[in-house]
Amino acid sequence: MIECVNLTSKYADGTVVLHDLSFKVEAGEQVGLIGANGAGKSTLLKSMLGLIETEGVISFDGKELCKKNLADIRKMVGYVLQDSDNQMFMPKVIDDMVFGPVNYGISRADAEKKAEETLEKLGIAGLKNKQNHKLSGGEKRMAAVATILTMEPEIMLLDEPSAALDPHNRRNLINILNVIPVTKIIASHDLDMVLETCNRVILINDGKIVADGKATDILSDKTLLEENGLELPLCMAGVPAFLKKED
Amino acid sequence: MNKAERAIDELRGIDKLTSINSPMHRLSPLSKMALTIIYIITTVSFHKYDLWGIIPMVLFPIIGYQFSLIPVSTCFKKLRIVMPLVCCVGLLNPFFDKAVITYIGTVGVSGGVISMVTLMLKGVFCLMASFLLVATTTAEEICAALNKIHCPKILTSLFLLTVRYISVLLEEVANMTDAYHLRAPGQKGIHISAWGSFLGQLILRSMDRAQALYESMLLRGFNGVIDYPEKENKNKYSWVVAIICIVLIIFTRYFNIPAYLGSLAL
Amino acid sequence: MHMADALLAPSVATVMYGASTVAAGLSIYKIRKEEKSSVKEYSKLPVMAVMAALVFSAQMINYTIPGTGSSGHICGGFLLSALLGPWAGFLSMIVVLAIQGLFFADGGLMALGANVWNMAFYGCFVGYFLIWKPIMGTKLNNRVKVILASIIGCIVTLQLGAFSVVVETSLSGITELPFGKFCGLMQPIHLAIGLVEGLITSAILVFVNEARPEILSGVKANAQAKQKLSFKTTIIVLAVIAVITGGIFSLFASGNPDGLEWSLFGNAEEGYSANMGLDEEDYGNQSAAADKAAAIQEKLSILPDYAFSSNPDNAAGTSVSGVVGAAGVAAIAALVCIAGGAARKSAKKKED
Repeated sequence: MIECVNLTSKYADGTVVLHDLSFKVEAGEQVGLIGANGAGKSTLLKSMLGLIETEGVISFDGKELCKKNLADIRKMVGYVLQDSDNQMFMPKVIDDMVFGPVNYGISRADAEKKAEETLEKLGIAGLKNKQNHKLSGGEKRMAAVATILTMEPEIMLLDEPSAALDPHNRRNLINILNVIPVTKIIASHDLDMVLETCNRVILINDGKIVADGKATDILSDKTLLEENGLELPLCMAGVPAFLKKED
Repeated sequence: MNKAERAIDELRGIDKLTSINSPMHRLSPLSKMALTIIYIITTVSFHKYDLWGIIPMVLFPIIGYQFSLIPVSTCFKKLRIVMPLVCCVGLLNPFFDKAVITYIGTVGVSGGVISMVTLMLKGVFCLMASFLLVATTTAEEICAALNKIHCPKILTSLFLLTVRYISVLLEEVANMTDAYHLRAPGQKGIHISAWGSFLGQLILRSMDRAQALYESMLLRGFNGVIDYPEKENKNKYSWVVAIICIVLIIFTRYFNIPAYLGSLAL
Repeated sequence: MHMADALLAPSVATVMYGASTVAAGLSIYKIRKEEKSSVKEYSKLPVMAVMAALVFSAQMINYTIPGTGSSGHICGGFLLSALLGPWAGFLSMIVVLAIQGLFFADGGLMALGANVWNMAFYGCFVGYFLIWKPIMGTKLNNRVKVILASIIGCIVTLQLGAFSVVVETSLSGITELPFGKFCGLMQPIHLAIGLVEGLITSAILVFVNEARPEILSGVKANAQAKQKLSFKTTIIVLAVIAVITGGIFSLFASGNPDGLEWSLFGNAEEGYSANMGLDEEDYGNQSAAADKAAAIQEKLSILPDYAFSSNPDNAAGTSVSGVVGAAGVAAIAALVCIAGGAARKSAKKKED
């Protein structure tokens, strides 16, 4: 269970990025975090991991985020970064997957076994011994998700997981996300993916929560979405107008 | 193709070479490094007039290339980078050292010419040897070997991380250069008005990248050093081979083989 | 100006390795200390790696030099220490130089120590402690400080680097070029290179300073009121100043120790050594100095072969057998290559 109470975050120059946010995520829930560019999605995810100084209280399973608990919480929470290149810093995919578990005290052999299983599960076993700089954008993203899954997190935070994926890999990712039974917060502009993976959606704008509710409700509310710089997901919008005229 | 793209290509080329499986690739990295360094030191230590003595040294890298299944010609492309300075220095020698010290047939050859040729050969031989090392040993193997001889881990981790990010940043520079030239046709380089902002923008973005990288490491329990795996499925006889080669190299250094061969023939 | 292996005697290379190792050891010690005392533990490594990669990549950018049609690029030691501080900058620079030497054949394995000294040591330590830090401590406008420090820093560190190349090569006994003349050749060239690098570096640092002053090492982010000073005019004014000082400097550099006239018109073995303050013993490398003396003496004589004509038979004898033997070795080498090529081809065929 994740609980955020009165979360406020400011940049050094005083700009307020997050404004008194409060919400609760139950265990096993899949929450979509949506909002226009610059709404504060990435900042929210980072502050939940203690990467950004914030006021307010954040707790995971009752453990409050503070210096003492930081290591425990980070072990429990997996974070998939927006840019996979920043996540894949080792020479080879397998080295990267093993990096986290080994640092958290698992032997290299066990970690490698775990990594292989994860790759198998994601259907990308072929990437195991590939060099990171030779991967394509999509492969890199899948591998980055794999590095986090190897750590067997109880909670996953994903920042734009479907960006740079081709339709096939995107589908693959959606299926995986739906199968993994952990609590997830997915920040994304890919509203169709959010609709397919999440049962709940939090809509933020200018660092404030505008709406929080069932995914199907919020993602079908055209005026609400458009007021906050978004659009209906394609599957909700029906046949676009320019195609209708052709008939 | 811009300069950054060429550099990417060169790195890819080396990657490809290191992925070959050959007897030379299977030698242990440390023995290969020791061998290469001793070869280079020996080659450089030849007297500047000892043109004939130095020639047999070519055999070592050439044989090495055969055992690594890499054509010798692969390394010649690299010569364009080291050779200019060596040639500049070498080419001046004939002007200053005009004393005839030997005759080929009836033609007198001055010391400057001999030392120039010897110097250039040294340059070529050293390059052949060090490229052979790089073409048969991956960066990780080199760093693992360096760790073994107690090179501080901060340096080797830094080296490997940098190698990893060079390909990322080269790509960015290549794309930026292309984007610049698409909007500035006919310009050879970056115009003075963009001198600061071109790389400056990249510095700002890279600082953000470094921050993100740091965060991602931290989230996965980074504690100051990165442990790179050390695989040891290397040939047991590496050191035997290396020591034999070293003995042969030193023999070549102190025994003028061409003079001996020539005296046999004549 | 990367040194190549061939230009160094093993002894000189070893000394340079030793010196660079000491500097690297000190840097590592300082960084560990910094990390321990800072809130953000271990944060240096990723920044150092990304910045090293950045400097390496930045060398692939060509900057057009206005009015010349040629282009320059940066070498980066000074830039790195301004961004990361001297200790981290030095280590990053070592890595950049090692990668250049290993993967791009720019430099060499044995010459790495010398290259680190010539480029990283001067660029990071001399550049930072003697130029960047003092200038940043003055009360000038932030932009002027950055520009001044970059230009002076790059020129001075490149001059030192070029001078070291000359000293190392001469001590190694590689070149017949008299020390003074070699200097006269290298220093002015590197004055121009340093000036261009300084201008580019200053442009970059000014941009960074304006966008995110907290990134620069040793700059107080006190959001000094931006004074109206057009970027272009600043650059132009400073370029003019630098060209003038550079011109005077190079006049000194090439006017004083110019060995060209003497060596060509042969008026003075003694004059040359006296002028350069060189004495065979003092010089540290007897054979090199002696070779030079012989070379100069040689130029005095009308017939170049005069000095050696006493035993031509002997020399000719060894050289003929030498030629034959070398030809034999060359033939062996060629055979090895051909055999290897054939083996590779047949192996490939088997695979297909």
